[in-house]
Amino acid sequence: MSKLRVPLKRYLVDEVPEAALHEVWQGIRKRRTRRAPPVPLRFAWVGLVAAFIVSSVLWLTFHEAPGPLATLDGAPPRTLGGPRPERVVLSDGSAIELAEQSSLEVLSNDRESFVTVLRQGRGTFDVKPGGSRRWRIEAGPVEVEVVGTRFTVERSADQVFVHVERGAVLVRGNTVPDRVQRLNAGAGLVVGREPKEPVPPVPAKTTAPDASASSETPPQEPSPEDAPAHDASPTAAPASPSLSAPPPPRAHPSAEPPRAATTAAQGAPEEPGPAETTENTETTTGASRAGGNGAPSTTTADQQPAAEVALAPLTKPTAAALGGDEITELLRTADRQRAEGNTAAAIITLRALLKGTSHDPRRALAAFTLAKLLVERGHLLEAEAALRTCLSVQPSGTLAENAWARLVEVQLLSGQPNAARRSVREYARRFPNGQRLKELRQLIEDSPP
Amino acid sequence: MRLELLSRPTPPRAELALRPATGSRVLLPDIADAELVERVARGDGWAEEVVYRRHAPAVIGVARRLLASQTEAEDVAQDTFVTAFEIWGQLRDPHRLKQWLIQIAVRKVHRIFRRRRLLRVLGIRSSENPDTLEQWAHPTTNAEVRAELALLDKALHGVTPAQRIAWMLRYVEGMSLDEVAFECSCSLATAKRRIAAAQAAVGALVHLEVPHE
Repeated sequence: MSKLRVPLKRYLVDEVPEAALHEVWQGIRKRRTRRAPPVPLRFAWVGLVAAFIVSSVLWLTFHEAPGPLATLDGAPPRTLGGPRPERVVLSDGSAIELAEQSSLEVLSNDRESFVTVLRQGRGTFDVKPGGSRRWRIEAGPVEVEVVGTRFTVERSADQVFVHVERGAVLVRGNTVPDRVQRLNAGAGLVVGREPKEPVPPVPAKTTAPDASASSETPPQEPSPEDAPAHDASPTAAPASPSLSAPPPPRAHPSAEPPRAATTAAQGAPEEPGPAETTENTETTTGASRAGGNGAPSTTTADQQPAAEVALAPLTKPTAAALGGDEITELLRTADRQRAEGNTAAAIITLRALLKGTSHDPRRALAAFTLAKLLVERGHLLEAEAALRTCLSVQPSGTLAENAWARLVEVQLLSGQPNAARRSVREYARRFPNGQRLKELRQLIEDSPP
Repeated sequence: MRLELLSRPTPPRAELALRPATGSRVLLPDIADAELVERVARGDGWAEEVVYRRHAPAVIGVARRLLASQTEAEDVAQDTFVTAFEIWGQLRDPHRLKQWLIQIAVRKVHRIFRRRRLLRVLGIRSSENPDTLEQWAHPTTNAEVRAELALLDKALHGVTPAQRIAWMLRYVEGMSLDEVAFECSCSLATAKRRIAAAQAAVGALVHLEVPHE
């Protein structure tokens, strides 16, 4: 046996064919080309990470936390309102509109909260949604808390009216049902004053009104223009956002206004319906239909609950329609409330009347009156809906003629000139000799195209 | 035989990869490894190919002898250079470029041994090693040597891949112990131990004329 000498590779083939070398090199090039993305892509993630870090640093460096709200001139608002209407736009885009003779004081204004107190009058708050700042409006017995919405708070001597146009708010107060209520878009709430002194317990005294109890003059057939509401029939008010129940009919209408809160909430399923509400609702319905004879009951002011709740859309009359006496009483109540200048309460009463009636012919006049009141308060869309309700109930006659004329005005006010023109044509078709035809045509001509 | 100079490239780059005509060889430029290393680090594709052309035969040769397989040796070479170009920055000593490339190749070879063993366990690969040194014997090698190489194959079949690799680098490739330790990425003592273990198995069948250490 021969000895193998190291290195043993001397006995082995050492050459590598050029073809093999070339093939391997091609494989290397292919793999390196495939693995190496273009430079911009290869470093794209680096760019992304760098951009993120840089932007984060810049944001942390230069980002200024939102400070207190300010008016457009840069000064933080302190006291708003006065004898004339006022609109204030704040630095975050929110706006406050105050009616004449209103007074709003800003209590706290920082990056987290904006707290105001409405001393008197009416304020409409258009709060820009999406911010972290919480708005709170104190108005006597109630406190309205909101993040982003548009709503109105009106404070009078004896009650506060809250109406939500958009979004939702929380209304808190001792006289609010369950101390807190959530109001969704279209809902309204009237909250009465808290009693100044504790009310001694008085046995419940409920009396059905008789002729002497309602000593006021019975509802007269009014002229359409200044009428208390009387009329009825099924309706199809198209766009009414909500409906409120009325304050309970009172035996002494001139006495202290009801410490009642009435909510209306369409599209708020979490709100209890009339049949589901607790004692407050029961009080409302009891006041409306006490004794089971259809006669409205009356209670003393002390016996009245702090708030009453009833919920239903305007388009759907309640299943249990109001009786004739109840309608009469509601109409009287609305008249009284109007006479006292309590427009908000009158609106709620008329809404409740429309909700609770379906065939009563007085429904048309109630809708017409409601529309007038809504126009006064600037709720033009709901006013238009109420006028259409009126016209659907009573399509002809003097009331209808006036309702058409009012409809034209409302449509013009709400920026619907085309709709107004159509309404004028309809007025002319229905009432070719109408008293207001010339005036309406002139209004249309004067309106911008 | 025709010689073709792998000259400094001029665009297009594809010309770099021109395959020499059949029967010709590539004449490599006389540039030091250190300079090539620097150029490759700068992304010079021409330098990459020169590096490959210069060291690929050695890498393929070592891999082929370790694995006794041309196909797997070419795979190892391809993986080796792809890996090397990717981790080019880890090459500390440009003068040891060849050793560094072989070190990478040895790791790839180790991986192939592990794969072979796995395939055998799974029954996919025969337990008998078809790849032998004897088949790669030079045509001029006499029959006695071929027989010795066959015995050597048989002896190495019974040792671990690490021992086989260390022994072959030492006695087939003729590397020093330090070089073996470097290529096997192990300590000198470990290299010696592996070589000794393999030699114990080989010595029983084959008598090697080894220099005194």
